[in-house]
Formats: sequence, C-alpha cells, structure tokens
Amino acid sequence: MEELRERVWHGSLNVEIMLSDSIVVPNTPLSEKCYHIVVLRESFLALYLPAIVRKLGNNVIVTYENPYKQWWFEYDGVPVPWEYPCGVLFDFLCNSSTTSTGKEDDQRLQMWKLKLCHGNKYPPGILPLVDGLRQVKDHWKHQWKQACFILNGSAKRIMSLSIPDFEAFWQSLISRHQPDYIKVREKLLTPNKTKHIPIRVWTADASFLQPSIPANSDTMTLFDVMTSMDIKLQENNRAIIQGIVICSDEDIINLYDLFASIDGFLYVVIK
Amino acid sequence: MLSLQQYNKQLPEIAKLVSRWDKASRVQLIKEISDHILVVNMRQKQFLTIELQINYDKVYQVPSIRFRLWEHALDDEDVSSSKLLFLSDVELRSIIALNSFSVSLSSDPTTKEVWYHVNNCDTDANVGTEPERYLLRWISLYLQIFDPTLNIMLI
Repeated sequence: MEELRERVWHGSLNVEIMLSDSIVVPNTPLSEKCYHIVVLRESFLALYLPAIVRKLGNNVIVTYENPYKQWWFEYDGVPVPWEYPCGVLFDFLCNSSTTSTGKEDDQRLQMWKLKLCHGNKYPPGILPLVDGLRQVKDHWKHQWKQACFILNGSAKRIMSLSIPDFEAFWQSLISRHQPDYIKVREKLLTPNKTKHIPIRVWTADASFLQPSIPANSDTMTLFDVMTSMDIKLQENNRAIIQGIVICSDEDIINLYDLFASIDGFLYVVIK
Repeated sequence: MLSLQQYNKQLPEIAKLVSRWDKASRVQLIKEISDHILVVNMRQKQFLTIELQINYDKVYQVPSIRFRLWEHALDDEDVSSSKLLFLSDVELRSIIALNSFSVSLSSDPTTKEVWYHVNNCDTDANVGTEPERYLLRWISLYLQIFDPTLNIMLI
C-alpha cells in the first residue's frame, strides 16, 4: 500500500515544450526553441513555468512581465489548463495507458508534446495567471477546502490548520517531501467517518463531472459510481486513474485512499 | 446551508429587491431546470461594467456569486468595444470592497468562460444557518463587495 502511494507520488511524465510559432524569433534553431523536461504527474504545470520561461524566454518576440502572466500551454492546438494535476491532464488529453498488470501498450518513450504560448487574449478555459505562484497556491488551497467539505461535511478541518501546518502542506508539494504531505493530509481525513468521496470524472466526450458519492458502509465499487452517472465501462470505454486502467469492481474508498491527487480529489478519466 | 428548494423559493424576492438597486443596470432571473440564476449587470465606473451572477453552489449548498469585469473603450472612430479584464488580487481590491472575502478565478467546465468566484467555504459562519430569510441576510453581506452602501436599500 505504502509502496503504491510512493509510486503515485513519484510518477512522472516526459514533456517536450516547444515555443509556439506565433512567438518564436524567426530562424531560432530547434535546440533553442525546444526544452525537454520531466514533470511529476502529481504537480501543476504552472509550477514549471519559471524554469521553462527562463530556458526559452530569450527566443521570443514578445515582451513579458514575469514567467506566469499571459503564458499558457497547448497540446495539439487545445489549450491545457494549469489548475489540474499534470497526470490527470495527460491521461485526459493524450494517454496511452498501462494496464493494471503493468504491461505497456507501446515500448517507445512516451513524450507529451506541449506548445508554450503567450498573449494578452487567453483561449477559452484558460485561467489567466495574474498572481503567479500565489494564485497557484490559493487555487490549490480552495480545492482542498472543497475536498475537505465533501469528505467531512464541513471545511473546519482545513480552516483550523495552523499556519505552520498549512505552509508545511504546501511546501511538501514544492519540495516533494511525501512524509510531510501525508502528515498534514491525515489531519484532513477521518477514517471510517468519511461522508462523501471527492471525485471528478472526465468523460470520453470531454464532459467534466463532479458527482456526489456517499461513502456508505456498504462497499461501493467504481462500477457503481459510473453506473450512477450513466457511464458504461467496457472495452472502448475504460476508467483510467493515475495513468492506470482500473477494474470496475475496485472499491471506490480504497481507490480514493491510494490514488487521490494532491488537491484532494480522485480523478477518473474515461476513454 | 440552504437547500436548493429554499434557495429557488427565496430568489425571486431577492430579484425584486435587487432590481431597486441604483447600481444595477440589468436584473434578470433565469429559471433553469434545477437551480435559478440571478444575472445582474452594474456599471461600476464610466468604463467598467461588472457582470455578476448569483447561483447555487451544489458542493457547499449555499448561494454563490461569480463575476466578470468588462472594460469599455472607444476607438478613434467612436466605435465602442468591450474586453474582459483579469486583474491581480491587489488590483481587484482597489476596485471592489473585498475586505475579508477571498476570490479566485475559475473556468466554467461547460462554457469554458472564466469568472471570479467569491469563495463559499465559510458562508454559513458569515450569515448563520437559519433557512428563513437566509438569502436576504446573504445578499446584505455579500453584495456589499460591490456596493458598501447597499444596506440602505435593504432597510
């Protein structure tokens, strides 16, 4: 169990960042307009912006105030929101997933190819990063408040965290220190007294759902949850969590315990 | 918390009250199948309109406000244009009276529109849990973000 949690925490993606054609200085060699990085699945793309802009920012024709404001990513022409964990976005936008047996569909190095864009007119669905890192932190905090409310019926547990505890919680994400993260996370959960499960589902037709799933004493499986949303899991309609195709008879509370993301939600991608 | 049924029941009265608000240039009650939405446009300054919506937050089970800022400009040929304005927290607080409220940007999963949301996690602590006249107590507090003199209208 602990090993699996650790693997989820350390899960990573190979990402190629290419400057968008609309902002790159003409005749820039490929090596100067492209940057290969490894991002953690359980992190936010916005947290990588300073390093990316530092690396590629000398080769753009635009002037920019800071590494957050007016920047965004696109994948295959589709704007990529920064406010969801990287792994969820990857699973939704382009995953060729591994099965629960660990067998890979493809032996090639999987690369998520993103375009780095800049402009004062944001594409639909992209949250303007007007407050930089502070905004990322605030957004994450509010996601946890919501998750805490869903889990416990009130947001008191997170609202009553001490400032040092809350800062340690955030810093654990930045410094990637899992024990600190788990220590604070455990204060937000009440084992066996969970009221509802914070779950978000991205369906195959790109609908984004946040169902209310009661945590009954009776076992509730992923199949039950999907059925409650009229989603039929089958060969070409699989449930993917943390990049893994999940069997529909898995207990939803166990899945939450193992695979919930850094913002307190369990994300299920159907594709 | 306020049930969705109570929210839908109390909102028409609030719509009437808000339509008396001198800052509101448009007030429209939209009755959706589940929750009702109150749309209010208000001219904040000569070149700024605030588009705000009151709707129901199904997670926290309380009323909720989201808003957008539209900046108006006249070009050289006197054609009026509008664009959405996204400001930092400090800039936003210089325009509206957020005080201890916190807001965050989020995008509507369906329309992909980006709105400022007033955060709802402590709504009950702010207005109490008694369902009767809940929405009246709520607007008397939360709409002061946009008009600190609003309470005079509610007397």
